[in-house]
Amino acid sequence: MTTEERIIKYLENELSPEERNRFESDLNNSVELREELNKYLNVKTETDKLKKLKLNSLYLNSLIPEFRHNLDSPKSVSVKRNLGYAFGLMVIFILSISILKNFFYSESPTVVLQEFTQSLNENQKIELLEDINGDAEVYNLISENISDNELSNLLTAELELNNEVAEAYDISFNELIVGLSQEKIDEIYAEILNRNF
Amino acid sequence: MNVKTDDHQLVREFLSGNEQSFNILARKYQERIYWHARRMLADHDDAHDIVQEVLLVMHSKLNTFNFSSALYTWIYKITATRSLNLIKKKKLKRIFTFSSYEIVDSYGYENIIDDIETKERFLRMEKHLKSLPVKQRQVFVMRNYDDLSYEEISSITGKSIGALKANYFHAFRKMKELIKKNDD
Repeated sequence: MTTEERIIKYLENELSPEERNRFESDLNNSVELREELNKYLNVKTETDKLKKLKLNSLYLNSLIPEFRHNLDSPKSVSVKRNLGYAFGLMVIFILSISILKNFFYSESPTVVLQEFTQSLNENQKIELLEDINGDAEVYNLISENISDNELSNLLTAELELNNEVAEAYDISFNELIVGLSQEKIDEIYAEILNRNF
Repeated sequence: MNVKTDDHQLVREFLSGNEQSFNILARKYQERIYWHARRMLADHDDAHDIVQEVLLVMHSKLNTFNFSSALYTWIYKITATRSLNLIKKKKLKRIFTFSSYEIVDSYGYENIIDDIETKERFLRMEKHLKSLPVKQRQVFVMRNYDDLSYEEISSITGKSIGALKANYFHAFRKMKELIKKNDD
């Protein structure tokens, strides 16, 4: 048992008669033990002084009337506070959903690009290809994500609109006709001949 | 007639419709409820709220009171639980509002203690008590201020006597150091 434990047990009357006698005998022989005991006695003295603290009588007499008033008045529900809680919960719910959605359905840039190109109509795709014509890197990225067939259709459509575009794109005739039916190829070829000669 | 049977008699009278008996019980215990809550919460407004809350609980739940135990143990149980709940609630509030433990030492309504010297001593001790962990504070308050035995504290808190003694030992040691530091 440590010295502090002995002191507290002594003050709490928890020492056996033998332990108590030995403790009191040690107290007579040890200045340190007496000093330590005095520190604990000081705590007891301080708490005892405040133990029988009395409340101001005016305040004390107001407690029961207030309780009776609370008892009689109907329970009021704090609408404002409940709305606050509801709003807070809603914000947390929305944030959680968006975080979880991003976590589980995070899409790569390629997937996003594919979705974007699929959302374009034919004319928008042609415009896009014209815009990015000078940028080989972006062109490759776009063309990688569009099927060959779709790309051919795009170029064919563009060729039908403007037969000089093939020259502008610097694309060979063979590349343009991949995927086209023979009938379509003949038709386009005849058109080009008619226009140029 | 002893305190226990007195209380039991008053409870019976209240349960048979005598509101005046409830007022007698409330007047008898309101100050003890206040001081326990005040020492646990270190705030007048919170202690005041606890008194009102405990009186309301007593009024609505006295029909469930088991006459085999003392009424004051039952009241202490309600007071201790409500005080601990409020401490937890305030701690959570501090976390969600990102505020520090206590921004301002707000002791509230100082006029509840008339004597200035006593008031100063009380506020000093309240500050020391507040720096104890909640479990240690609770057993220290119940032992030293409320004069409850370990058996009674155990029945109120549901903790084993061994655990209560260990908490009390640490609380006592810390209070000794805090008071000494303050005196130096």
